[in-house]
Amino acid sequence: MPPRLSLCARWKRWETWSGILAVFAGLAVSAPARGDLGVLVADGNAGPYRVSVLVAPVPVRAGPSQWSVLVQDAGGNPVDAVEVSLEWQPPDPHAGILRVATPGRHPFYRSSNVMLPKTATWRVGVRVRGDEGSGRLAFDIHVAPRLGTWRTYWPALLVPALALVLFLVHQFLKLREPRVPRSREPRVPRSREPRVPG
Amino acid sequence: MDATRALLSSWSFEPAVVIGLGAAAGFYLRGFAQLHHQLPGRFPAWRRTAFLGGLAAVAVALLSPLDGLSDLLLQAHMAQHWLLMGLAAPLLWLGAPVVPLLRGLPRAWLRRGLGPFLAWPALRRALRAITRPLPALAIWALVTLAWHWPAAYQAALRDPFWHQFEHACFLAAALLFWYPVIEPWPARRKTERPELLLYLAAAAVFNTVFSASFAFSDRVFYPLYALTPTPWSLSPLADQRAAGALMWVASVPPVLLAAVAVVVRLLGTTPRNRARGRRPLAAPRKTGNVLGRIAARTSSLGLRRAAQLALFALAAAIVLDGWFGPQHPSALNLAGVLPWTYWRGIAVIALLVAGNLVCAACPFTLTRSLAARLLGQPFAWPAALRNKWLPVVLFAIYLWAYETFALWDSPYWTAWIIVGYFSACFLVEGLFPRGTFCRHLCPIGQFQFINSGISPVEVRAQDAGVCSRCTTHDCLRGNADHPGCPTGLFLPTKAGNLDCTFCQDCVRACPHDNAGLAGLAAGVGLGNGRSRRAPARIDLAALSLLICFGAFANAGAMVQPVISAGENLATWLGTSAAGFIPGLVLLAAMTVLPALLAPTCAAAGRVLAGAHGRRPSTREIVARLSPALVPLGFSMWLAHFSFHLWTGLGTLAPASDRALTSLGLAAGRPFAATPPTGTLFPELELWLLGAGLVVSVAVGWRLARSLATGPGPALRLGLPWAALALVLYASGIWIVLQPMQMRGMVM
Repeated sequence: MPPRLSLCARWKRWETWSGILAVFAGLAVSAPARGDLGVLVADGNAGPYRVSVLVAPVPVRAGPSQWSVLVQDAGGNPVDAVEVSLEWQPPDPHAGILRVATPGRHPFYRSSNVMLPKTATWRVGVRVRGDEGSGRLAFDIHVAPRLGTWRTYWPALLVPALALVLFLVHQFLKLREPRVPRSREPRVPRSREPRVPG
Repeated sequence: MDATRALLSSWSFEPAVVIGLGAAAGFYLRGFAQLHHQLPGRFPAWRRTAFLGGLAAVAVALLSPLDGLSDLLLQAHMAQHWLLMGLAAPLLWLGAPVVPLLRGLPRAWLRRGLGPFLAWPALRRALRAITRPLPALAIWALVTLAWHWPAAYQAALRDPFWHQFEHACFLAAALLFWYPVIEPWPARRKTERPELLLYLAAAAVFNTVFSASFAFSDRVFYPLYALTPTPWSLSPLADQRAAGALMWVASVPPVLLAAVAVVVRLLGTTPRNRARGRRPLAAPRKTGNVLGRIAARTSSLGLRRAAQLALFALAAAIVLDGWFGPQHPSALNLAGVLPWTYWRGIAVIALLVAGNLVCAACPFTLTRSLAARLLGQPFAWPAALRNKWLPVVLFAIYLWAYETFALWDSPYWTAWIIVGYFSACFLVEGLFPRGTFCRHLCPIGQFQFINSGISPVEVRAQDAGVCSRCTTHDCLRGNADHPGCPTGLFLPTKAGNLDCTFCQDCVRACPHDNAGLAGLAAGVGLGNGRSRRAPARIDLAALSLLICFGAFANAGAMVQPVISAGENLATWLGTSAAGFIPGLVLLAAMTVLPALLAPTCAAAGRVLAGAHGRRPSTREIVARLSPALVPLGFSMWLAHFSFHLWTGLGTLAPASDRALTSLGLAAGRPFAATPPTGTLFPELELWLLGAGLVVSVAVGWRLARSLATGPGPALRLGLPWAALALVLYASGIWIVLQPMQMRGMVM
């Protein structure tokens, strides 16, 4: 029997493992937008600010995309104390999408993920509110048709196929292994299941 | 903008990188702890520091703001690459990671999983070939040049997938480059040391020419940087020159240090080093069983009762809200949200991660002892019903009723179902002994039992020798202090998780402290029935097939094309049949279809396998191979319920707020409808289905091997089943890519 740990020591171990698990779970769940910056699609003034908008992937297609915004003052310095909201408006006036852009992976940029549902020319509005005032930059962008299923999700479909190939190779290698003779150690006698009424 | 704040808020926690680094650190530390104890000379503490330092360098390169800056500045990108190639790779090899990582892996993974690959002569030859200095240097230089080619480099800047692949290539190439230099133990010395100086010199020359081409060129290699606005007034050409200078300067120290180390070794003070290897081995240190420690905590009866009481209170709240709360929209009623959106999603995730915890905390069995005392359990459950046929019928009725009567949209009937469940459980457990309700009636329990065949843990005896000497069998019969297994499982012969409610009464009752949670590879428990050496059961096969096909039918019933087809069929048949058509189609899809397909696959496999050796009957093949489809079915349930959980995650707050307001406990505030955001679905669903297919094929192969006389007949026997699994997988892909009905949402 291993020596029994004190309650405190047991709690600490338990706490440590739970903590590590919780941190990893938290990190995995809280992953921010991971897209790369993509390309510049709009650059102009919004009130007292200069606003640059980038989008990835390019060309923009129906489906998920990541939008990044850099806000600078007149002197070209990045501005932090602003609220940046993005609005996508398709030709159908009732189907607009509104998102607030938040700090993401790229320093000085604010980003937002959005799922643009359909192919159309969308009107994109970037509203900036800050201490120096507020402003809006608007521009049109054509959203191309969605990529085919295979081209969109090919990693998720390819990996199982690769895993199956790996499994086949694994089994092939196992079959080629020379058989190891059984151990001559005495076998533990089998337990017999007792009869229990009911 | 405060630059420090901007940088600190730009850490990205890419799940694949975080989990990969965490797993590498965990396995390494586990293996290193044993090796450090056994071979302190070979594995001194500084090796651990070096390996962890290497992982930290990878983390800084891929997760820190440097990763974000690499899209803005070439010099940041080069710094990132230097961290991976010039710092992380040599540090990782200095940690001598091969043996600690292998020792740190669970033994079954190493022996059964990696073992055949590690012993594969072709792979060993290939690794030996590419780790020789000349091929290693050539591959490293080629990878570096290829990825800095403007087209490839800019493609990586545009697409996150290629960006990550680029980093993986760089790290792999750098590991290859540094391998001949460091030759981490247990590598055999292949290189004469003086040659290494030439090797390092060649690398230094390559670095110099490569960096100089960046530093002195008048042409911008990567115009994409010119198109990206940055907060710095730095021209792309100046950035490129700075990047070249950085590469030049940063590449020198690692190569120089390596050269100095080689020279020092050549001048060598080796006797001390040689003496280290001759130290006697210390006895291996036991690391202890983490699962055992978890079991010691979770087996607490108090904890289980607390969980049951909490769920009982929740069930009471659901019933009351279902009866007296608003019926429309159902997502504003606790009975419309908690059981159908939350409970199902959490239950399947718990099943995958930790086993059948839902049964352990089941509130329906809370009153089991009271019922037994009041009603006395005077009867024995009829022998004809001691199987899974009744649960097959009940589960089919449950799925049919769910769709036909839209139970997810009916809080009132949901409340009555819960009350009925409590009453049935109380009555059956009071009249019949040994967990009759759980084993022979409860549809939820059967779902949990069958699917827990792929959960990673099971309750089992730790040492078979102790059990064979035991004469009291308290795990089954119980004793004065603790009851035995409520479902009549005998630990020494128990196989997998079938009929195991994870209550851990056996763990508490065992006087030898020989029972507990233990790790289990996915799918190993499938196809065994309740106990080892038991014959395959056709009733279990039927239940497995029903639950598997039910997963696809249930998910398919909520996609738009199927709903439209059902409506068209109903119109064609007449409006009076409209309400029943979807339910009947669902019932046929999950009962008639498997009843036809499974024997067909078995018969086809039997014909293909031919008459070699023992030829199993069609019935035996169906009974033995049907459980192989359970992982695929479970992946569909998981994908389906996770989707509902994710999309309906925001509905609990308004539903609880509404319920509390109606009780006068909250002020009542308007809620905002929050449509689901993010791009997690349907990609996650596809990954889950893919994993389910792979596990199903692996389990099917194992089961086919157990039936057939050799690998050839086993392959032919299993082929029709593999085809069936592929068809189900394809239908699952089709289902998850269709527009889905948003059930359980306030929209």
